[in-house]
Amino acid sequence: MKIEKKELHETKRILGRRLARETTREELEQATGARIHDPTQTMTMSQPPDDDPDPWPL
Amino acid sequence: MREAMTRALILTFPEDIHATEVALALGDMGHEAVLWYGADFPSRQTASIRIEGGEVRWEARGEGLDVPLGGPPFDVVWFRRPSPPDLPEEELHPGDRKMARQECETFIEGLWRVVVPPGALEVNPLDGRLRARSKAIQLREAQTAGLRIPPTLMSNDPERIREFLGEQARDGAIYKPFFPAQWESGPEPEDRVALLVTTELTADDLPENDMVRLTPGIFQAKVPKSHELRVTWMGRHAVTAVLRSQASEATRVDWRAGQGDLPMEAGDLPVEVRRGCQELMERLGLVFGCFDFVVTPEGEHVFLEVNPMGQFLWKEEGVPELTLLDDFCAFLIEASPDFAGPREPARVHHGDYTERAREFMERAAERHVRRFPSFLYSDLPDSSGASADREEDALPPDPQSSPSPNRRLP
Repeated sequence: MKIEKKELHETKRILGRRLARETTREELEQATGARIHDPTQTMTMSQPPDDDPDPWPL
Repeated sequence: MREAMTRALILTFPEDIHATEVALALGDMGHEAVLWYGADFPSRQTASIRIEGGEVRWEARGEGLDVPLGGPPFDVVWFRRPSPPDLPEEELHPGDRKMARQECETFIEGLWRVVVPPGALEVNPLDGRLRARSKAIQLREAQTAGLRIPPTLMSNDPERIREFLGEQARDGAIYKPFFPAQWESGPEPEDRVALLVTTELTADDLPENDMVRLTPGIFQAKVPKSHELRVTWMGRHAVTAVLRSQASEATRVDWRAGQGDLPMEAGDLPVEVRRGCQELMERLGLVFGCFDFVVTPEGEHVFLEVNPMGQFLWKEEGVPELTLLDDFCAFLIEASPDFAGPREPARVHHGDYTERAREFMERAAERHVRRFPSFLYSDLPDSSGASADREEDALPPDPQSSPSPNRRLP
């Protein structure tokens, strides 16, 4: 899967977005073998292995 | 080990495979698991707290949920993915929305504080969960517990960040956000997806200073890696997986970029690292956590973080002998923070539950208010106008314009 860090000098974006790795839905789904955000996936980049950062305090 | 049936209350959302498999497995083993989908409140769910005569009793009722006032107490409450209320704001006068939301949230937060009866196991205690959300506290307490950590800067100060990156220029530095993030530009196959994980960087990667100031981040010295460890901690029981992250360029900096093809095997922790982990759990007030360690070529273990409610079934998927589903169920059944591991051979296996869980979640998603990942962001130039073009499951809901399709009662 082509997944690369893309420079975004054309727009003002925050550091995290500038460093994010770019791909397409199709490539991501081919690489994971599942629909993006498929809830049955126990860990992929679209189902992160860590906490869900819900904005609510708890 | 308890002989009697264990009653478990699990707070989560409809499409959570971990909660679903655990609930199904507990049921198969003769225990009772009640799934409580928090986003159903208030449109599909009611709840009450009654305080009198020296007693506090509570109830919650709704679609698939019937916890009566003064019913039998739960032995364990698993705050798996406690979901905030999802207020149908379109049904409210604009002038009432903020107050209704605040009242809902304050009530539910208070309710969560009274659902755990004295003596029951709370996974994790809410105060511990809150405390562990702070990466700064985690790293401070990890150091105190004797764990080695990477030199770290958390900042939005361009001067401090450039200074830190300059200090790390020889061996390198990494940036990571406080939480994972993902941007999507639309629902079509060719639409862009941008995934943010841990990334190497130099000062040249920084945007202009005025932009750096707007978003703090975590900057750390790059730690040389032989391999990495993911340790799932339950009570006093640890299950360690060795992650061969250096085998592939894609996983070299962050194994989460491995997309499921990460080589892994069962591993172990040195005694002194194990002792440090236990002390850290106690300092943070946690009984469950997922530790990430780097192991250097010299064999030193460097603590990165502990996730208070990280995913764990993927380890069993990669290494079936790591029977995480069974271990976690045994932890809940024993309902003790001193759980030291299952006392019987594994009875339930993740692979046997995946299909049932999928069907269960599909039905649950139709009957309950769905919750969308909060790490997901729109990448359209004007995200306020994005909702008209997107699939319901492609982008996060816009609370101003896109009410949940499941929120209204039929």
